[in-house]
Amino acid sequence: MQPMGSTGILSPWESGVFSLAIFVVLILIFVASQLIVAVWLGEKKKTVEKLRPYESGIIPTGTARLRYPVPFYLVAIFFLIFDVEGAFIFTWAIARGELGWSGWLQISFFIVLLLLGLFYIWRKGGLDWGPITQKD
Amino acid sequence: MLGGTDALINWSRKYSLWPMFFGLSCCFVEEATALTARYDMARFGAEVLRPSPRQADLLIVSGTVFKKIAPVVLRLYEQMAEPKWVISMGSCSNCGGMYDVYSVVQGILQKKIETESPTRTIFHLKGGSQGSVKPILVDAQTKSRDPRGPGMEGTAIRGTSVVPPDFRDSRSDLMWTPPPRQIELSSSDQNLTLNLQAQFGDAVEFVAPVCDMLTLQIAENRLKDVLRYLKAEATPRYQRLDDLTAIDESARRQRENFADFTMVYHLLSFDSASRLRLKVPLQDWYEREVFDLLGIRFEGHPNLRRIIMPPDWQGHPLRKNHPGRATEMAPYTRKEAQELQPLDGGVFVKTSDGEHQLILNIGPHHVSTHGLLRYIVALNGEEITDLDMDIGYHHRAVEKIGERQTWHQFIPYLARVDYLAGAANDLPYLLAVESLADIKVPERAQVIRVMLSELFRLSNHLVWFATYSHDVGAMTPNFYTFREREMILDIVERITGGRLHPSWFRIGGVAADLPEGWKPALDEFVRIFPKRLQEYENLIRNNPIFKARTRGVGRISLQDAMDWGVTGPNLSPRQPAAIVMPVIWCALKKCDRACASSNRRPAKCLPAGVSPMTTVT
Repeated sequence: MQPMGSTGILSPWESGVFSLAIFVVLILIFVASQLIVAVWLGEKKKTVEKLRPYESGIIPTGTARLRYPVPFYLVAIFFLIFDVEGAFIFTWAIARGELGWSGWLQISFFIVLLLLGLFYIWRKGGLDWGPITQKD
Repeated sequence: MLGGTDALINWSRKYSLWPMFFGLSCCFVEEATALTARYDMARFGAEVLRPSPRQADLLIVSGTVFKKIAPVVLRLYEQMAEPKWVISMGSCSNCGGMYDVYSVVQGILQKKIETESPTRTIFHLKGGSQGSVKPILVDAQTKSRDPRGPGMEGTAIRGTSVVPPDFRDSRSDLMWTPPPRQIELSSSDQNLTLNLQAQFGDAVEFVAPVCDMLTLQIAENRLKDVLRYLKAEATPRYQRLDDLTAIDESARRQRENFADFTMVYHLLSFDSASRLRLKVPLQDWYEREVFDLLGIRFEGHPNLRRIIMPPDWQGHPLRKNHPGRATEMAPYTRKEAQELQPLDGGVFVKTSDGEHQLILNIGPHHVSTHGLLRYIVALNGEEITDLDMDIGYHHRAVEKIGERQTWHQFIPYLARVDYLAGAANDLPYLLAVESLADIKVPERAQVIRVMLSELFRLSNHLVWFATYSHDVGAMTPNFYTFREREMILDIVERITGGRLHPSWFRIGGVAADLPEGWKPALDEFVRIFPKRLQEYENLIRNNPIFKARTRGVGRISLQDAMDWGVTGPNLSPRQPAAIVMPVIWCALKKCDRACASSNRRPAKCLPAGVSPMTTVT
């Protein structure tokens, strides 16, 4: 099948960017007018109660700016690390024919190293999620 | 020209409302029903009920507004976006309704009006320029403030409208009353009494006559020993504390024969399936620290603080000298709602490493607690490290109301105790009254009562199943079960004329015989219901989320369950909803037989002395 040329099907560059610009400007005007009308017409009464956080109708205790333990953060970091390593493995997989047995040995060494790292994190409790519950 | 703009704006607002619920009791169940398929709230341009004030412009306050929850109602109103409106739904929210009692705000949304005598006002949510500022209640024009109704202004309040200690000139001395029921003590009860008297001597006294169960009077100083003995050593052992209450004896006629207060313990024995009542007269009362509803201080109690009433409440409501009616007390206004706040969350929970834990309130106004209950949790990240509960946001004070109502007049309040179970609440009360007065109920009336109670139990369980599924994350069962619930309520309406609260049972029977056409409606329901039960099960039985969130959580050991006095469904958590079916089948079969054997005259259902005039229309 022959590749199709773009001549005559898509607009020439100049007129295309012009209509896009018009479109963007119209969108901006529309959004801005909506916001301005809402700000202009909407009632704003900033009372003490209204500015207070909603907590089931009770006055909150203490601050919400805490040193907050987030196990998700750890797991996310680990995921990021191992996810990036995946990029090397995929690259090898595409060119595995050309790389031959020496390539296979190198990538195997790399994967084993990764697994050792994962095992280490696992043993250190880095993957434990949530509270530690006692069995019965 | 601007008039036209107003009309346009109003029209737009009318069909783009974001209602927010503040559900407090029975009316909220009806409000939630409006969301379901049969009534379809979307017709009014309000698609869903919002749980948060930030996303809402119409606050619907449905149900009884209590003085403990009123500050929360006011805060949520203040936190809503402008412009905002309020609908007060139901007579309780409008004016206190039938709950003219110390714990209930006598109506929101009302402008404060100065009147001479009882100010039945006034918790005014009005703010800003939207809506009406005209007084809604105007004496003798739109509403009578006299709790007895209009036209009674010239008459002094007396009789049952007056409560102790002002209660005098009772006419009950002149009335005939049936003699109380008496039963024979079983041999094990007699042995227990003898054993206790041998063990504790004069400290244990037998109370005669025996009307329902063995009753013993215990001296205050030996109470702990007797209770310990009954729990661990006696035969049979009384392992569960069913109930603990107290009586204020100050309104007794022979005042000198009674102590100031009497504590009452109800104990249950699992071994012999028997019950025991202990009465403990309390002397030197006034030296004691005053506490809770009656102000009884328990020695060695680790955490003695108010549980029902707001923390800054003055006095102890169940004492005879505490005012019963809200109209006898100072009006509860916007000012009180702003000042008398619920206790800070930090009072309830301990945070072990201080500043790094978050204290969070779940409820009273929360989707899963709707106005009843407040959990205070301490959070360490995602982990709940401590939890406490604060109740009393729903306290209708039926005990105090019971003191001023006659035996019959108290019946309407019963259905509202568990407002999903309707007439099923009437039954235990009536059984108690009937066993006290030794009244025999005709079999047909018994069957009708059981049938209605079972219908209400089914409708109750349907709401339980729907909301329980909702609380663990499944929305769909709501729409299924409310469909069948409406069928049940239609049958109830056909029979009694009422929906949630028919008040249809009477002492000694029911208000009227079953009407024409009750049977086909019920047959139709019984025909389709088993299939629907199967539908419900299919919805959740194999749902991994539902299973993960319900299985193996909240385990209670047998010993703990007995020690804590756990009753009801929590004792049999594996009981499937389907178990109610055989029960209603039996009730229906029995009713069939009873109908066949009676000659279908309404008077047959009524005991002697109860007039058929009491029929609910």
